[in-house]
Formats: sequence, C-alpha cells, structure tokens
Amino acid sequence: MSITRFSTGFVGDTALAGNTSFSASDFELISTIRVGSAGASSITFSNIPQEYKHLQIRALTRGTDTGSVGIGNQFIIINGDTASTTYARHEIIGNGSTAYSQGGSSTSTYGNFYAVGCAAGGNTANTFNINIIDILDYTSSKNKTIKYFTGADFNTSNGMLSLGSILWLNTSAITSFGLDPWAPLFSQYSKFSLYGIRG
Amino acid sequence: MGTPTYTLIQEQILTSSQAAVTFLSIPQIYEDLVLEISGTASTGATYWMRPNSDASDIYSYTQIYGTGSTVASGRATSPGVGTAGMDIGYPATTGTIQLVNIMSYANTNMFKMAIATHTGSENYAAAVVSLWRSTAAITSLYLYPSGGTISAGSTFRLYGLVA
Amino acid sequence: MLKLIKTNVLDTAAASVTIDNIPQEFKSLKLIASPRFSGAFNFAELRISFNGSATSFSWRRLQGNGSNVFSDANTTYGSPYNQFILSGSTNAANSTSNTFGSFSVDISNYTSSANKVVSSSLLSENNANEGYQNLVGGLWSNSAVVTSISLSTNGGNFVAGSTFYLYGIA
Repeated sequence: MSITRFSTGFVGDTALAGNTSFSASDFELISTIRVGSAGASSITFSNIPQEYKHLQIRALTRGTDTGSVGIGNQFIIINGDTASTTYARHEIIGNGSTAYSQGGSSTSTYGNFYAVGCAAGGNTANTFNINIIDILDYTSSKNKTIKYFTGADFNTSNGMLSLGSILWLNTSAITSFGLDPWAPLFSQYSKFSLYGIRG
Repeated sequence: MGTPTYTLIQEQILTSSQAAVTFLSIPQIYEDLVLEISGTASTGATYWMRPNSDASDIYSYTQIYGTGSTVASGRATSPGVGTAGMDIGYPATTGTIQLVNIMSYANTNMFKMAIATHTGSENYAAAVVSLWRSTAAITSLYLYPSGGTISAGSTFRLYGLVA
Repeated sequence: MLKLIKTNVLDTAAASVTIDNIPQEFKSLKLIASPRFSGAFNFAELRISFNGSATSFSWRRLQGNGSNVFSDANTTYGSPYNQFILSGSTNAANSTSNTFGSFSVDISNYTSSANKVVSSSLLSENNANEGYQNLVGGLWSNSAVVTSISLSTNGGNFVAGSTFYLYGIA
C-alpha cells in the first residue's frame, strides 16, 4: 500500500526495508519555552545538544514595563557570560522615518550584551517583537557571530526593524543561550523556540 | 534528537497570470508559517497579504529599503493604508523573492505579525514588519499585488514550523 | 523539508569554493556559509556565481557598516560587477581574529527554465566600530538549471576554517 502525505500529496514507497527510506528534515525543533501568567525574569536554553551545526531561535517578546513604548533592550547571555566586554554589536535599523547603521566594539556604547529587542509593555496591546536569531557553527572554536532579524509594528510611530549581529568574543562551544529583558519581566505569551540545523 | 520540522503545507505554481493567490484550510498544528514567493509580475507593485481575506482597516507596517542608490525607512498606519493588507514585499518584472515569517499564526492571545525580506535586482533590497490587529487564528492567506498581475511561472510555497 | 546536500569545511586555504553536481530533486536551495579571507584588509567581497558562468548577473544591495547606510547595484560599477552577484563584505585578515561572517543565500526554483532569483544576507562582525550588514537581491538571467555554485572574493583566499553547507528545500 502506498503512503500518501495529505499535506503535500506526496505518494511514496512503503516504509518496508529495502525501499527508499523516508528522509526527515535537517531542521529540528529542540525546545520551546512559553511564558505564563507570572511572567519570566529571563529565559535560558540550557544543555544545548552539540550534535547540530547551527542554531536558530524564533521568539516573540514583550515586557511588563507598561510605562514604556517602543522596542526596549533585551540581553543575550551565552554560556552564562554576563561580562560587559565580551560582546560587540552592529546593525542596520529602520524606524519608520530614518534608516541608519550603528555599532561598536565590546567596550563601546553598542557593546555590552544588549541587543535584539523586546516590545515594551506600554505598546498597543497584543503586540510583540519578532526575533529570528541564527548562530552558525555554534560548536566550533571560532568566535561566535550571532545574526538577528528583529522587528515590530504597533500601528504607532514606535515600530522598527533591524538586521544585525553580535560578536561573542569567545571560542567555546555554545551550551546555553539566554535572553533577559531590560523590562522587569517578559510578559505572558512571550515565546521562545530553539531549533537545530544539521550539517 | 529534536523534532524534524519545516514542512511544506501547500505549493502553488502559476500556469497563467493571476490577480491573486489564496492558501485555504491552513492546518492549525504549526507554530510559525514561512512563505516563500518567487517570480515576476506584470509591473512593480506591493504584495499585500490578507489573513482570512480580511479587508478591515486594521493593518500597518514598518519597512527599510535600499533602491540601489538611496536608503530609506517608512511606515504606514491605519486608518490610512489600512484595508490593503500586510505588506510583504514588492514584485517586479524581472524576478524577486519574498521570504515571509508569519509568527504564531494560530495563537489567539496575540495580534498577528509577519517579518519579511523582499529583494530583487531590479528595484529593492528591503525588509518589512507588518501587523494585523486581530487575534483570530489564520486559516487562510489571500495574496495580491497592488497593481498588475502575478506572472505565470511564479511560485508560492507555504511551510509550517512546529514549536 | 530542509535537507543537507553537501558540507565543505576548508582544511587549507582556497582561492574559491565550488559546490557542484547539485541534485535536481529539490524546489529551492539554501547555502549557509561562515567565510573569512586572507587578504590584508578588514573586510573583502563575497561573490557568488552559478555553473561557472561570468555573464548575465545583476544585483541590488542594502548595506550598513556600523556608521552609515547605503545602497548600490551592479549598474553602479559596471564590469566586473555583472560577472557575479555581490553578496557583501565579510571578514578578512585585519578584522578581529578568529571571526567569520554569517552568510545565507536562498536560490529559488533552481531547476526551472526561468531566470534564477536569489536573496542573501551577510553579517560580518568585528570588535571595532566597523561591521557590516548586507541584504542583497540577485538575478542570473539564464534559463539553465543550477548545477553548481561558486563563491569567490577579491580579498585573497578563503582561510582554513571557512565552512559551507548546502541544503535543499523540498
């Protein structure tokens, strides 16, 4: 009996031995963290499997800072590293009226370890900031370049989007990845998914 | 081992020019949708995307773009642009790609957001983030250019990512 | 489905990198790479071409460098910038050591008889003010199916440790 995949109409061999094996995707979900009603002061993916070549984090973030609007800072913390001199950052930003590029070394204003962005709690209700973060060769002995594509629109003058990167000046393999909002907490329904890509 | 994902949900390859493309009956089992659009159009235009074919005045977007000589950022809010749809790119006569991430499309606790890059050698290298101010789950997508038609040979592929 | 086709990890320097004999069974291709160059510059160009061709390429770019934004196209410069798709600037010898670019390119409908449309991003870091963000749209005006992808530079060689992963999307 042939196997039919309903979603794509694919019709293939049966899964009997000797037939062409079913080929699964090399893009795999590792873990998802969803913030509950109590909020979360930070989230961390710990004990990241070392069997992949690349990681992708897909997140929707909103803070509990209801007195603020726009997109606030959001810290990334790799392997628990909160030192202020091990992250550099560069990005291109569009804020709805101006396009500009900014960045600097780990000891500059743009260094430290905040980037990417979290929608402030005072924005239009039910809106979040999108974060798509890619880390290539995360187990290698290179310094780590973390790419991010992030943005939010609130139907106000506060939306923005950016394409940028962070340099983690460390040759260690990445075993944990955390996000920490400038706001007191990530608000409910913020969501973080970690994917591994084989190579 | 993780859960393999990035599943092709539906594909449409145009055999003749069309005014619009619709994806119906989108399964609600994924977290994010990734929409890849590749092809040409009869003229340069904006690609609008209406979730659930909603023509209400509840759309807005922020964008950044390079024209090949200048760089700018713009936005549109509603009421105003409002009924057209989510801005997801700019087709052209010589070929473009739109890569659209539609986040948490089935989550009824949030408005629906999409972030996309849209590039082509003829007109723009650009990115846009769009908002549909509805908490409804997305069950269909209606895609259309603001002018002209979508050319034959253009492809639309909708993928689902679990989470 | 995202499926790994080929992996290339450079053990020694290479003037260029070519991935050939690309299977024709997928709908699109995604190439992910982490390159660095040997030339005595902070950054150098990453160039992409197909099937060994050096004609009929066009592209348009949005770029930031940590201080300024600008946009250009192949028509801004003329030859040889129509002989490849310029993906942007990435790390060369004078940039922060042991730091490589983050590159991703999507090649849609690579087996079709239509012109080939390409979209890429290249992020290049540096522990200094200068660092690059590149978003590029490209076109290869050729009806041939893509059977090989070549990466090259004007900045010396690809150094050992540069990596390249080709995926098919079905």
